Amino acid sequence: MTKSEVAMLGRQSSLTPALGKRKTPPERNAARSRLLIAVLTPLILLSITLAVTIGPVEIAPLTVWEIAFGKVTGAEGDWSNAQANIVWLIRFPRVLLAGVVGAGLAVIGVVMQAVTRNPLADPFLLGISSGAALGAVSVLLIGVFAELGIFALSVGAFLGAMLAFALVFSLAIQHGRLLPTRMILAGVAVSFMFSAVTSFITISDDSSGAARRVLFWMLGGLSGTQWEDLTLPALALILGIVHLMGQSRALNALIIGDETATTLGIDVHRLRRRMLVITSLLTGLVIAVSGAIGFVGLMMPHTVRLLVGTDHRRVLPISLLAGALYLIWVDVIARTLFAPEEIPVGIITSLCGAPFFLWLMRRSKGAL
Amino acid sequence: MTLNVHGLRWSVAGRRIIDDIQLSVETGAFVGLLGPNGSGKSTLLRCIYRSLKPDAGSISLDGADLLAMPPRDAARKMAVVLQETPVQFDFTVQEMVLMGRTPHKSAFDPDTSDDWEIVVDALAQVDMLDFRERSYGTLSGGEKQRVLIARALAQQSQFMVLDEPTNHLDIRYQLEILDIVRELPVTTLAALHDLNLAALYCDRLYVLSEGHVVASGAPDDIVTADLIYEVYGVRANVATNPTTGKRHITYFPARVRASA
Repeated sequence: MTKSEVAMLGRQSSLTPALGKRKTPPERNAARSRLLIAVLTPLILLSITLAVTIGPVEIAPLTVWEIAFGKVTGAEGDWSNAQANIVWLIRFPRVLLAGVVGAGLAVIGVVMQAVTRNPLADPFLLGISSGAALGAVSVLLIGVFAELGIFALSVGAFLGAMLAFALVFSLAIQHGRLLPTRMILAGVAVSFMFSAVTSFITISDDSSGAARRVLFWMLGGLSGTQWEDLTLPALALILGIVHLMGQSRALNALIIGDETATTLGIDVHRLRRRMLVITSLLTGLVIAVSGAIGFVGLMMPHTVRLLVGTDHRRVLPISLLAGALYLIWVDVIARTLFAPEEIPVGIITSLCGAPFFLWLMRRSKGAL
Repeated sequence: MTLNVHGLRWSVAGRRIIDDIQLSVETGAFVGLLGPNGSGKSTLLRCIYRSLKPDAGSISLDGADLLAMPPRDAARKMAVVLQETPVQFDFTVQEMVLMGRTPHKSAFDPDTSDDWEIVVDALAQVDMLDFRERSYGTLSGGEKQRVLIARALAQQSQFMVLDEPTNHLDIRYQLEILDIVRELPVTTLAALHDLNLAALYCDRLYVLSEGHVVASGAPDDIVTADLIYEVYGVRANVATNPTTGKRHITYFPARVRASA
């Protein structure tokens, strides 16, 4: 054996000390995300149960699931008709919708932050929600897309969201580069512009009842949720998260930079266009049923990233779970704090979210 | 893996930033791209790694048209080490290197033990294995650069492009990075700003000035005082260093030039 061979052997063995070949090195982030999924999933089921029991009429947790089981299978049980209606027709759809909306907003936030490479991106802050609101209000008060029936509101909100996102995006790009500060400013401007048009439409409307309804809806509220409200957003969320999980490696590369993503074999323009449509669609469908609920898309992804890092294969599913859990409980607070009066959910999420935004702004120095 | 560039042109607002570029990199060579700021080095590299679309000309990699290649195929043939840019979102070092496996993965492919072996080997090659769970954002400039080289290695492509890999690094790290790159069993094209280091490490140099290739060849043949004056507008003395046997340049500041 020559001297250099000895040296090489020594180098080789020192390279991979305890790891050995063909073994996955330990990953803190992976271990944490497994733990989080294992904790959050049962916690959400428990929270759904508790959230359904809470309200003016107390209902035992076990009865909740007996009623749900009975409603699905047609089995009889020793509960009153009134109890069954409260659980099945009023509380269940509302709690589930809170979960779907929270999950949806969190996922939208994750994708928007990756696509814009801006930690402060959120559908609410970038004016996407205002776009969706304008679309929805045009449907509610002017009657655009009336021929689409029950889908009109969702279609209107989706188109409004996409218009706003495309506008903010094109304003934030200069010489092919995305400028974070410009994006926030463009978002603010677009948001004000769309809100102004929305307010104008609302005020011009003759029936005062409609205006009140629009105002309450715009502040974000889940009262009066029915089962059919769940269909579209839930479907979009499921299809959306499956597709996004498939794109998670591409999102990892994109969040580093356009050039990095290109050199890793990603068609950046196609990916970004597709993500723009998906986030607009999700935002539109979620906002159509819940109104503008702010900051969930900001708080959830960042909290999750602090725990498991930035890899989207972890951030996406865990943010989804965290968002669901968060909004289920925020909605419980919204309807119990000043019962029988309800506070719009959006007011509470903004109260929690705005300070979070300020903290984040101080923390992420290079972004603005 | 050979790279051939013919008649490449890229312009913005009617201004030709690079024009009529001819360049070739032979298998296994370490080719350096030199030139003052604004000479079009980065633009040329951007065209080669397909971040910019040239107006005219062709680029081929082992005879295949690089510009017509699907992005994934191109990324499997060519890895790129970009200049380090601040990242707002934090990845661990090993997550960063694992990203190099992206062009080899379809939508729902998991990370296999092979992938991890490649990542561990790549980290070991740049001597960063102990840092694998560290957050990328907390590393020094030289360490970040080494991680980016490891990511390019994990891509397992035969051709590597580096855009000023030693920029903003202390001299020790500059030498360290170039030593690593020099030893890699891949064909390399690197934009460099230090003529002495380029002469020390490269097999062949291309010198750009105002968007054109003004000189190309082995460092010993083309690095001359006249070329440096022509391209950089600076007087210099070019000698052969007795220890390295390579060209060594001493630049003369204005007052020395005046008294000379």
